[in-house]
Amino acid sequence: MRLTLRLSPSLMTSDELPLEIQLKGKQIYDCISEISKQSPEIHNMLWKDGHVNPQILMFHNNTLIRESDFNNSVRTGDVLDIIPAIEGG
Amino acid sequence: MSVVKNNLSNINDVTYQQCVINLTNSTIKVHQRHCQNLEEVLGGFARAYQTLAKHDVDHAYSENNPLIVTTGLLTGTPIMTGLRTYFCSYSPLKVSNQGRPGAMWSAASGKFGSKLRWTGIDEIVFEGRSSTPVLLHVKQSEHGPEINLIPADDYLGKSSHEKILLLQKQFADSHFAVIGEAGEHYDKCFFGSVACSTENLLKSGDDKCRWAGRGGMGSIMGYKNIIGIIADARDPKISLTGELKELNKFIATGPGSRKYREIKKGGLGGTWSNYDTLSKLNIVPENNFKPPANPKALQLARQEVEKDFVVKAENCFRCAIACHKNIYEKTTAGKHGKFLAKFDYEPLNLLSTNLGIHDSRQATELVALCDRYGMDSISAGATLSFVLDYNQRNPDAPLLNNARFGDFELIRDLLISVGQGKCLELGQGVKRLSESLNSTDYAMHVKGLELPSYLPETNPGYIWAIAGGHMSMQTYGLLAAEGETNLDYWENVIVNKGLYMVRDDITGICKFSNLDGQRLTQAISLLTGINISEDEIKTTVRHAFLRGIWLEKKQGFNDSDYELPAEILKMQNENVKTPSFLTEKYLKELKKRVFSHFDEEIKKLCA
Repeated sequence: MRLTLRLSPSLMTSDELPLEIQLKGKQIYDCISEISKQSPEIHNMLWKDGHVNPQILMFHNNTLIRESDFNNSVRTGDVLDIIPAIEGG
Repeated sequence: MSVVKNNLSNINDVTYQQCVINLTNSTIKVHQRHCQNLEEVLGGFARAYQTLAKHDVDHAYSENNPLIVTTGLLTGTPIMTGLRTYFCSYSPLKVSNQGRPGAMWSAASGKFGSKLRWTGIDEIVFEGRSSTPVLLHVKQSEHGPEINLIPADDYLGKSSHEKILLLQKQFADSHFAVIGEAGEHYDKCFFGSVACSTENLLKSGDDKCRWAGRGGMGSIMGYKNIIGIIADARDPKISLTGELKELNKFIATGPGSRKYREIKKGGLGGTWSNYDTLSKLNIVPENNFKPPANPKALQLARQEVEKDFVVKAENCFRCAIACHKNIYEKTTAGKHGKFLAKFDYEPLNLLSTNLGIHDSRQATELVALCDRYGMDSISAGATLSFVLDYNQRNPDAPLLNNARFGDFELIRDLLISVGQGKCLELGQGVKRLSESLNSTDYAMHVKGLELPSYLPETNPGYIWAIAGGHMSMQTYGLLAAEGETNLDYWENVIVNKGLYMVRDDITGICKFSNLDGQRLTQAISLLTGINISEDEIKTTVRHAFLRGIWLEKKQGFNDSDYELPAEILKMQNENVKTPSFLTEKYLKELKKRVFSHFDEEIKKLCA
């Protein structure tokens, strides 16, 4: 299965970071594991002290997910959005 | 803005319509200006700051200080969120230690900016000062824009909302930018804001403006005796192409706007959700930016407020993000009743939690009052919290009725008093007030602009924000998110990331669209015919930002102005769960490093 990871532009710390990457896997966990191979920067952004960085949020399609949801199945065409938890207004 | 299909081989081919109004002698001239550089092409503060730089201004309230009401290249176009208006001037609030005012802008959505561009005017420059209160009427006509000054005596003493409703009766197909009572009393309130009307406001009759809040642009309007501006034009018929539809769909459903969308639409429910996130690290400002060991911030988290009130997500013109989180009374049937206020993270926090107020009804009242009088909630809130802090530290010589944290009635009375122009102590802002009391250490401002709702000990980037700490330097959430404290990291994020936040204070789209560079260039090409690369946009944004720093230095801002509130360097708040890293030595080195980049670039840019 193929999933599209989309990074919020407000998380872009350098021009080298991709806005979107394609990830393969049967479950969210598989896809998340693949990130480190394609983009170590995004991997480092996501993880903190062995857990998902609490200041980074992930949406699988339109649903906010936590680590406990990482065994959710993935279908081709799914979208995983990564956004910062803190933004002002 | 007039353009032909243009690969920008000749920037001069791009023109914009600028209306220059000399209020002192009531002359009005419209010029077709040829752009000299990309900053002028993209517009917003990038264009306006070049005009400001040509004026030598010693005092914000002086006739040679212009007020520039401008738009961005995408304002009024069918790109979603292309609604921004920018109010630019030398600010009465932002001031150097030498006493000279700093250049500043404040932006608002709503529909005023679009209507203004549809009249055929891209930018208005107000010069001088009117001897009597006036309204500016800009009307679209077959022969080009018709522009007139109209007496405004009948509008004085009314709230911004009342002014808009009155204007609506006379100018049916128009939108409005007006000031409230605070702006009228510019000499007693330096943080008057500008209210821009929304379709929702005009249809519902509820007080649902969008605000150009920061830096006292409403007070500048008040000084100039401009009570309001009427943009009178028909809505153009639009047909969205396939590509544009896709772009708008992406803005409405993409990752960039998730924070601001409703939870049922795959979002986080607005900036208000910062309460939940920041509370985990105990960094929601409380009691003048000093969270206690047992914080009460979460009492005003959205899920708590929704127990007693209905929250409706409403929107600006043609925007599907629906970032307005409007609070209504809850009827016995659980439906929405009377509209009360709009909650965003900053106004809510600074007018409640940071004042020691944790009751949601009281919070709605204070937020609504601030809007009613037309004041910047950040400046009003942070100046109030300083007063409460001062009174706690000086029980034998308290200020202003001895108001204390949590004392709702006294705080409400003070807010009304400053809104009515009866309390200069508060109305002058926290920098001047704290200096007059010789108590500057815990006055939460940088360069005279009160801090937004992120603790100063978490964000050294505040020092380089050129128009408000969370609107012009995107470093305020980084310590919480990444936990990095080393100098190389902060030097890099300030110099190479944070400053690009001002891009959408130029282009005409809203920061909440969070549109990536590639799609932005696509939108510009589709809607204006101008082909501009991502790199060119980045360079233009950087130049505009650096021009802002250069203008600060031109106005006398020096090392002593580029500082954080002293107390956070002297006294660590043990309750805060982010790493403590800021010291005088650290900041001195960081300033040296950051300015070594900026000064070098400014030398080339502004030679």
